[in-house]
Amino acid sequence: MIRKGQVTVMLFGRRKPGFIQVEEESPEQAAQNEAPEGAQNQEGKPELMEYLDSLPEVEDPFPPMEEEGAKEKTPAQELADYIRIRSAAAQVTAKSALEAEIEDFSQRMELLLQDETCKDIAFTTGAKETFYYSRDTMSDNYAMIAALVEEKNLAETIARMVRFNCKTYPLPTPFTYFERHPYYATRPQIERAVDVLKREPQYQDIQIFQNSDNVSYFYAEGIMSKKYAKALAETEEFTD
Amino acid sequence: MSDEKKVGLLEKQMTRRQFLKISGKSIAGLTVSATMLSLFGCTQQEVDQGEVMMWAMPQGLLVVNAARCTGCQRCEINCTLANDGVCSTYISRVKIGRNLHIHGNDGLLNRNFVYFPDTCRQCKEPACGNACPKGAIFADDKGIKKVDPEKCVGCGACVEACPWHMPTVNPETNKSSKCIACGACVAGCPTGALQIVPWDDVTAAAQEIV
Amino acid sequence: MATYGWAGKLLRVNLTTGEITTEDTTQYQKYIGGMGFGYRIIYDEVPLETHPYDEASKFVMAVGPLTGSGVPCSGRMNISFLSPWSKGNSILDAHMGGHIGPQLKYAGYDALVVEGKSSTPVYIKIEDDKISIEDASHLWGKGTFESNRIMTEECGREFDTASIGQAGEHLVNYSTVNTSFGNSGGAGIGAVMGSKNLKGVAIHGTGSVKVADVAELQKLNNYMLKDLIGANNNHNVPAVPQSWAEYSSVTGKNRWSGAPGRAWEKAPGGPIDTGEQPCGDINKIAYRCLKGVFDYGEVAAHYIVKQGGCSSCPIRCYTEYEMDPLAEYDLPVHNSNTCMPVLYGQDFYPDGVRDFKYEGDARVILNGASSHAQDDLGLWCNYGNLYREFKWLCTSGRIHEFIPDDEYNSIPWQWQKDGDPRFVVEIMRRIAYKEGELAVLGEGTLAVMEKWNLGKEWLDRVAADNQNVTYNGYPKHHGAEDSAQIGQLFNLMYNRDCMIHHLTNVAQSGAPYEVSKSVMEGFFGKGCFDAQKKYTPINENKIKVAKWAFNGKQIHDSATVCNWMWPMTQSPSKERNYAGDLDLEAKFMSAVTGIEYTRESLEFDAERISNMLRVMTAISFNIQFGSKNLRIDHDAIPDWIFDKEPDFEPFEEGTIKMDREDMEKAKDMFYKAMGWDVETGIPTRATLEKFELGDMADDLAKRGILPR
Repeated sequence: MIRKGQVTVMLFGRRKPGFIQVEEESPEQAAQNEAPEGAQNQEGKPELMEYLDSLPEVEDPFPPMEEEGAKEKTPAQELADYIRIRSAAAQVTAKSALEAEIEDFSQRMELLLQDETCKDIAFTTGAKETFYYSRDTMSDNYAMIAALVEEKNLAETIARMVRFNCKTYPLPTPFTYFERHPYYATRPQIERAVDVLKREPQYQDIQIFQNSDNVSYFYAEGIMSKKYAKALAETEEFTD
Repeated sequence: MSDEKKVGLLEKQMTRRQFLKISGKSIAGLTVSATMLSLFGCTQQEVDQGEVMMWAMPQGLLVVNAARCTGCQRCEINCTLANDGVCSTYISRVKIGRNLHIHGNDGLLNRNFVYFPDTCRQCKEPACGNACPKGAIFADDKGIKKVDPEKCVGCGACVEACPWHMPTVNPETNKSSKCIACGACVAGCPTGALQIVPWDDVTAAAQEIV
Repeated sequence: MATYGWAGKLLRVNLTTGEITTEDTTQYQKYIGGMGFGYRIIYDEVPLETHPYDEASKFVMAVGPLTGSGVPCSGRMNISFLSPWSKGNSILDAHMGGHIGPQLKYAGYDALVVEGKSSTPVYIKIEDDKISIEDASHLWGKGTFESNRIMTEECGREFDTASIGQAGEHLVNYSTVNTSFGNSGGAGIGAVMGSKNLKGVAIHGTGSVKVADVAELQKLNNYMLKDLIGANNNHNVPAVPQSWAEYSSVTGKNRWSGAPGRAWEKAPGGPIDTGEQPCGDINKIAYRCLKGVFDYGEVAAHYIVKQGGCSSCPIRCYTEYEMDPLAEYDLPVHNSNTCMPVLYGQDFYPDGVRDFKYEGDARVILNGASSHAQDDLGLWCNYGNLYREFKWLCTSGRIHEFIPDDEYNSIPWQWQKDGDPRFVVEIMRRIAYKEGELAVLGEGTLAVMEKWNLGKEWLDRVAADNQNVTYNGYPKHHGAEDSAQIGQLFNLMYNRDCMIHHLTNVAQSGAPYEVSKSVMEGFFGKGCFDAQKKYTPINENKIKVAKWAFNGKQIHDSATVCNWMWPMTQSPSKERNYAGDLDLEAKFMSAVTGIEYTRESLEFDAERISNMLRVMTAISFNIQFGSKNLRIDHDAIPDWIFDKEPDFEPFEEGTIKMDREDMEKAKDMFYKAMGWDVETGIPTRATLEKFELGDMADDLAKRGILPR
């Protein structure tokens, strides 16, 4: 069984702002939190568990707890759990990373795919590689986005998402869309990607315009007319 | 991946015993490990500022985080629907409505947005029970102090005796309403300002630093 | 008689005689509660000739069977009275959230009817069956925040209070009554209370709302919170991608604005990240709406303490701020409001604003100052017309025509140039205290037009500051831009801005059009829901939607549940194909009251209220102008609706410009669907009798305006 507390430490090299309970830590606080067992921090504040140990014993008025049965898991099921935990934390799992860590990966994955208890495990293919996720906690569209983000090719990401948004919603996509979670692209990065979009032949359908408030938008030619895209980008008076 | 063993029963019992020692007391002035902070959904700064209170309950650790409470009263609603079959704020066993405007030095009228629910401490030596002239407040087989409606005469001694005035005499039934740790308030809290963390998870988090 | 749902009693306080009585409300239950109770009581008791500020005028604060029952988003109270400012001075409502509506219910009342006029300032104290009229001379002249604080301290911390401000005391038409938290009811109720020398009410109830089927109610609560509810305005997809969600708002702008990396940054004890809030996770719902970030962008988070809102609602739409830059100007730093007053502060500075502490925070801080001042003064904005008209005054180049030189020179224009938050506070103060010519802005759009001789063409102009959707003195409240003819139709129906969110909630949800369309067509049939800026000529299914929204709003203000959240048209749940449940109001009504309601039967009861609104409006227009025709005199549509966007033709992809002929056809179809005379837009006898409103048909006949 993988416990919540340990998961963050074990599985996530990179802390993403916001998911579950990761708070920004000040350097002092981080130092406090990582202080070795039994040590008191610089200000001399006792650690909670150590402090509890130091208090006199009390009587537990509650009735004793009952044992719960735990089920053994197969290696394939453990692999599924691993993907599920990352998925629940908004992360897809790259096939290459699993291959590097697990010797018999392809064999385990084959078993996983046949396992009735693992029907939630799905994969999405980015431009370069395959990513796994659990459909219990992650949507297919988000897995697509997460895979694009993992592959760090902003021009490709913009092109795919602009076409997707134009077709699906249908709406033009403001540049700011890519500045937000989970893309977190900076404006200079977006501008560099725009250069690529203008240059590369496969991106010639991706067009740019400004609305009357000078906000920049993308749309995909062939999916939406320019006149309609521009009209949709005009914001109505903002009311409540 | 996961080869650690399940948290043992004895370890869980031990954790509960440990936390009973500070049940309902301030933990400001203590350092809490990152893992445990993450589990409780709070920050060290919140602990330092006294925003966080904990109560050991049979099923887990009740953590109240004042900073997360938004005053929606769903705890009171769920409490009274579950326990009284009506909807009310006054007779709720968890109290937020009365704290919105003035709550000690906090509350809107003290010019801040700090308001949060009072919960029953399930005291080991219950002042409410000790004050009851009819012996109507008893501990059940789970150690929860409850009101026996057959014996209760609605005199209000428990309300007065409780340092936090948590029990309330229901004016419609003339019986004391007192928390029975049913968890309805926690289950419906839309911010997790009230939460019960299972002893399994508390123990696992505690073991990580031991 | 106490029954399930309803408290069973109304409380009547006569401020002239000091008489306090209660009455059984069983006879009113077919009017549901809230708005329905209010309309029946006003119609029965206040001749529509009465001036709203006369001693003979009354107001009704009413709640409904669902108020305080534990149903999510059931914290609202409706206040009915005669309009002091809109054309015809007919019936309208103020609506307020917070905690005071449920308190009235717990105290044992479905309604508070206030009549007469006190000779000295007073407030009404209600503690269960202990009712008293208390001296308020020490509160008179004070702002709402201070007088609410004093009332609560005098009565006890368990009391919820509501107070008028200086605007109400000075009989400013644009005036409100406000709670401690800044929840307000507007439309002139402040002045109606002020005319009675009534400063406020303080309420505490130790009772309960009785529920017929508690298990069913708990089941429905769980169902709604797990499977149906979205964020504010029931937006059903998040503003930025979340891992569990298939869709997000491409514009980044919708009210499900809580997201990873966005925090309550000023929370005591450090920032609280709003994170992801998956569909089905009840314990995270309150992080979905981060209203400040929706209003101003991410810069707002720097000042957010937490989110607040109404009793029973898990969607917290009131952002509570600590705006420390305001301390420098001796202005309050703890501010909270969620509606128009937090959106338009910058409009008082048409030459531009400057930031305070962070890039882009000027709007946040100026709106904090302006909303607090407005709430403290108890000043109403007529859904933004107050701000639009002040801005027009500043930018039209005509200010010297209207404002005398000595008054003009006394206005601190340097503060306006400097972006000083005290400027907007000072302008609000002058309007609330009725100082100078400027104060006509607080008397109403029609009063401004008359005083400044602006003529009908002022309402016909194509201009950003002209949102007037009728010639009656109020702007649109989500109209054609969201739902073409549908929105335009229901915006015509009331005597103030319509406050109907049924369609904007779907149209602006951020979900893909095809998703929302299939949900709507599932409920109302083909062609009922147009794509954004791509609408089709009127059809029967759109009329069905318009009727559902119009009557549905009456359900919400009568039951009472919040029309920003309700109905549960869409859902965030993929398993449900994003479809909500339009039967849910009726299911809750059945569980709470023990009376079997269906969607049809509840809508029937609501349509009774719609007809009362229409009859009272027809009578008022007849009294005031001798009008015999609401279609012409009340429901006329200004030219800008048809003449905007000259580059487009109606029905062309890219516009919501309306078509005159099509809109008149829409009116024909809508009146017919409502059982109203097509020529006059007035209900027929057959329709009124169907809703047991025969007395109203007789009244129309007596006045010669019952359609033949």
